[in-house]
Amino acid sequence: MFPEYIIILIGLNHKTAPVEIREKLSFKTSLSHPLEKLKSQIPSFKEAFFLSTCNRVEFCFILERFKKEEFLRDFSSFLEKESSFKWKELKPHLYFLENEEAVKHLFEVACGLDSLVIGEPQILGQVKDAYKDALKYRTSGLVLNRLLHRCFFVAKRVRTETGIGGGAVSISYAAYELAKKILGSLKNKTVLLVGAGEMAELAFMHFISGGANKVLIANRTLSKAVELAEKFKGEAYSLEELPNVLIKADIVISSTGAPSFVITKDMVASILKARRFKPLFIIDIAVPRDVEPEVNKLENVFLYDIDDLKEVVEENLKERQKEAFRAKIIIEEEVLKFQKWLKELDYHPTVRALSEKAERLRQKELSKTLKKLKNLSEEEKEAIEILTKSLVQKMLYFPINFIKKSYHEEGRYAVSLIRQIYNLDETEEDTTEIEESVEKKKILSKKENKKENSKKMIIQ
Amino acid sequence: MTDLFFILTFIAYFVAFIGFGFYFKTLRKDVLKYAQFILGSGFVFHSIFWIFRILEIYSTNTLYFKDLPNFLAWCLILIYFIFSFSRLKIYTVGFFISPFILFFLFISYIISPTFTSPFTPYFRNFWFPIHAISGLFSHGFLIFAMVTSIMYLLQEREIKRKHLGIFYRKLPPLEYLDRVSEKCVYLGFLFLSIAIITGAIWSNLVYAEYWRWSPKEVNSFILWLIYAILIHQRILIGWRGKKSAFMIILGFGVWLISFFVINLFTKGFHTYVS
Repeated sequence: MFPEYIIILIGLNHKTAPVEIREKLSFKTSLSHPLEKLKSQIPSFKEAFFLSTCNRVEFCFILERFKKEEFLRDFSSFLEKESSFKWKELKPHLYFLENEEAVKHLFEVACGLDSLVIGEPQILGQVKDAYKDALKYRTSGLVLNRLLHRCFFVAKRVRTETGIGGGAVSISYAAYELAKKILGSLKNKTVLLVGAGEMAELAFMHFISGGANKVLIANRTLSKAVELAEKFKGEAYSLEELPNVLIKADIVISSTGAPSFVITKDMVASILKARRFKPLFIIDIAVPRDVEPEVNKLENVFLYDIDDLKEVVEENLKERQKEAFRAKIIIEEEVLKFQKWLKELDYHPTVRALSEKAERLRQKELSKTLKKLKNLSEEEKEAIEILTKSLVQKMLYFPINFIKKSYHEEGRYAVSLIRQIYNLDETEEDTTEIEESVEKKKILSKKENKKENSKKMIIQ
Repeated sequence: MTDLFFILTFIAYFVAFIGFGFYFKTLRKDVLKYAQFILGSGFVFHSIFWIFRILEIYSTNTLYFKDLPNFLAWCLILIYFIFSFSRLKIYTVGFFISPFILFFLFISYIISPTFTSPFTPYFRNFWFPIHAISGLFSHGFLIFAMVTSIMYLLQEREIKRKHLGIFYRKLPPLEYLDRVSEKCVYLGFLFLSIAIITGAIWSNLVYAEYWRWSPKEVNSFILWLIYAILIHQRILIGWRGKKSAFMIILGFGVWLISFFVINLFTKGFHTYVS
């Protein structure tokens, strides 16, 4: 009976568990890393991976199938101890996934499909950090290494092949994208802040990072405006000066607490000529609104209020949902590939791959040699054939014997070693490349020999 | 020889059009590179075609009307490459301009060769080629400005209506489109002025008259006025965006009349009636 390994993923996320449970299981407050504790307390797993973000906690283990019961018992008592919750309370919030389900889930997490904001990019970095931890505590091994590298590959593929990361999903970023579509580059553009709230500052920071370099601040109380102007290195104005200030601005962010319109259609219409009809983008994030909606009808003036921006964000989210379907197809495909790799990691397929590869190389080298030696009789040819065959067989005896012997104890780890040494997971193209590089080296060394010879000649 | 290069050119432009369509859909940089490369090689074929064709014109002494849209297509591609090397990144314009290029080549293929103009010794002087080439370049810039104006209007409509759909995502920023059409208008105006002046000088040499009020001349003059108004308003008042886009489209309408109706269906000077 060969040992059989399974992949188990146990986790909870924002959909399955309330924050009270998530925070207790995040292990962010504890002194030692959970992987360290797991390693010392539970002996029954082979590899482990732990991911904790504000929206999820995931454990992933590789263990032998017959140890599963024992492991789950140990793990539940471990969680009870760490979280001070009873296992019964915890269990309904957890999901238990096995093998391909677990792989699929991990891929989806890395692609951001399982995130609160679908397609958000931070999660990939968090998965990478978690993998680094697993490497640090030496809990990652053959299967997890492969699994996580595939994870990063899939996430990259999904990001380039689908639009899952496209379109702004926050109001401030949506405003920034719109500004770029209207004004082109934001370099050397002027931003005017009318009043200042937290959201206005957030949007403003996007524009600054986009290259806008001049800041004007208009506020009801001039002292507040001066204070902000100092903070952002800008110019301060009072609200009465607004028409004159509007002439200079390219982007306006308005967020005063005024009960009526601060910027009216007449006001903007009167300054259009002075602006020489340069495009003006007004973002009104105040409630009640600061800018008269009719302003949008003026030529080259574009007004977006908070609801418009929210709608843009919702549209983008819908678009991302659509793209998520395409991402899922890619993930299915990659899960199949991973399963195939796992299946190949066995005694018989490896022995077959090994002898096939050896035979292919033998044939190739043989035909090369026979081409050069033209005057051979049939007998001599046969002798060479037999020679090469027996050479290959003798050489292969050792690795095959090694797998046979150590398979019972080490299982797939022994197989993987052989596969790595003989490069059995590479495709046909890769191996030809390797062969070519070997050939090149041969030619180079020949040339060097010649050089050395000629040097010798000179010395002589 | 010209036939072979004509076919090669057409195929290359058609493939480039499909490539630009694919770029419009995916916005992938590598796709754009391939499409531009194919367009560029088509342009090389097209230039070779024109070397042979000019030799033919001078040796057979006939100028076909079908040469005009063909050369116009060549101008458009040259203009496209000039703008794609500039700082303003408006790559998706390739998808919108290539149907026009294909259309002009197609027209030049189907127009009957009976529409000719004898290439008499009068044509063999210094002024005529300058007149013809700068005239066609001014048409090229007008068409390019028209295309970017249409793109501007599509983009502006979506942003104003706050319904951000496919054009919002794929088309370049409004400001870039506006700036490109502005540059096209300046250059188009320059070339049209050169064409009118050299045409007048040439007319004086041949007919001893500077200006003869033929339909083509009147039409060109109207076009020149439209350009002049546009530039005047832009520099002095700051007309831009939508107004300027509509004006350019109006200019394009006037040009359509001058190019197809007057060249083909009126009698007299500048016509190619068989």
